[in-house]
Amino acid sequence: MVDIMKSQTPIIEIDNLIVSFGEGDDARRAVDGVSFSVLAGETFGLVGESGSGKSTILRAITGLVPSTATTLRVMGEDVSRERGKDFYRKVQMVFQDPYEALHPRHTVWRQLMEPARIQKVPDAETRAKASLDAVGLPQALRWRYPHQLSGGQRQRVAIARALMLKPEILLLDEPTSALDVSVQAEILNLLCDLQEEHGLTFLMVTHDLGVVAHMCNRTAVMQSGKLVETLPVDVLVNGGATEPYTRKLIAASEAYGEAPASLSQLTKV
Amino acid sequence: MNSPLLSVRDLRISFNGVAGPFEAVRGVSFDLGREKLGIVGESGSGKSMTGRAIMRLTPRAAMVKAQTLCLPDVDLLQASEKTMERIRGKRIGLIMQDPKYSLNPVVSVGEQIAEAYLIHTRSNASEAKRKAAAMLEAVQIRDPERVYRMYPHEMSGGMGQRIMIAMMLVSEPEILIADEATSALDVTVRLEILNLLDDLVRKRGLGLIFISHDLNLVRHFCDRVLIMYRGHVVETLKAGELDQATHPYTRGLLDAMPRIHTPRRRLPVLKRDPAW
Repeated sequence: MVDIMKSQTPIIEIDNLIVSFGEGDDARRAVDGVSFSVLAGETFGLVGESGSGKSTILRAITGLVPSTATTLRVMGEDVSRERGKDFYRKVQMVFQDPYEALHPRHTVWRQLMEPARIQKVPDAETRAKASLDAVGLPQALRWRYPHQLSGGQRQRVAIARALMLKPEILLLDEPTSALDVSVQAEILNLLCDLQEEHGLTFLMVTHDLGVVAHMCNRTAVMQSGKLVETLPVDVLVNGGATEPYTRKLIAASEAYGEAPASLSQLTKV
Repeated sequence: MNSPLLSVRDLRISFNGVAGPFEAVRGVSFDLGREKLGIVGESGSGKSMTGRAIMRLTPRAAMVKAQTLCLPDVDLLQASEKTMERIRGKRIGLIMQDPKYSLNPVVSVGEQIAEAYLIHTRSNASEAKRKAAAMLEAVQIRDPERVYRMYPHEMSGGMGQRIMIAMMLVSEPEILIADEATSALDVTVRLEILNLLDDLVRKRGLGLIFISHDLNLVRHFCDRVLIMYRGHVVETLKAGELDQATHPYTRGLLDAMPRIHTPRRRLPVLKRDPAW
């Protein structure tokens, strides 16, 4: 965990973000008036249960789902309607299931070259080699297909691909929840190293408060499309959460944490 | 432990691969009493395959061998397919990770529970319906009358898993195998399902095999834990004494988990010893 806040400059500014699905009477707000900002160089967590809208926020930022917002600025630029090519260079996303996020019939090498081809990066091959090194994958793996890799290796490829365009912001959507704990430890360490080395900003969606405590500086807690509260992680873990929902979430997570608590105690929460 | 509900000795499951035979399970032994037995391991450790072998549901290509694999009165290795049909669902229940794939999408959940009861008992439709409705109540579903008529796609994950538990318990089995049964659920829902399982297992005196990748969960929920790595049990511990684990693999797994209250700059990474 990084103790010092790296800067006070907001790199992502979101005010009153709304994402609706369905039409007419069926319309439902998956994200309902969410506001927060992420500072340059920090790791900002979005936690909440499934269906709370946390992943949808990432998708709205990248334009994968239509959204409206009073403010949606990334690195000072308004991206609420249009996103330039530059946006897609500076903002990259890593998804939960690397098997679905990688093209099944492209080699590792081709997966890495694809963003470089779209963005017309001149030194693509040098970068691809450097990206593989950065995520700790041997160069020999570059001719493999996703099905010939382990889960951890696949997620490394997805991260290497995200690094190809030298981004400033990584949107991480449950990047380790499909992985075994021993592999999760490797990937989380890797992300921390990359952040330090390249000064990246992480916006990370997770349901695992252990991961939040390990990785994030600040976190927002989501419940049914709304942001319940935003707070520094050390306040969160030291019982400083004020909202009952946040406290309930922590208590439920601690049931399997290092502090033993009996199940019967927890039902009373 | 007096007279186990299930005995497993030297269970071996192998597959014929391109590169020669591959042993997915390499000599697993344990006895199950009226307890909550956790089997923990990472993907590929053979924990699910062990569970499947008990129900004789391993893939066709799998070769299953064991010195002993038996209930007190039935040798599961020798039993005919017909005998197995009377054991699966009747004496041994299985709950899997995602209820969406375990339930029939075009039959109402109440009817599915009633069907499970009808198959395994001599009774009639109205008796089965009554039993199913009572079972829905036992798994703490509000408004069981209404839920009885609902279809799987109308259920949340937690509700679907309650339905699965109801379906598995309606025929009053002696053994329940839960294979990552709560892994797909949110933390708060997971707690409710675990409490429910705990309660039912205690009240009905079941033997529960709880297969999971989650060490922390198992240590608070189960009585005893087997730690599996590459097809065999590296360590067996009382769940409460997991902190005193001595095997480097168990220790490595415990260390690799991010902790809420004692943050560390880096997570220790597991170093795998080929000798394990």
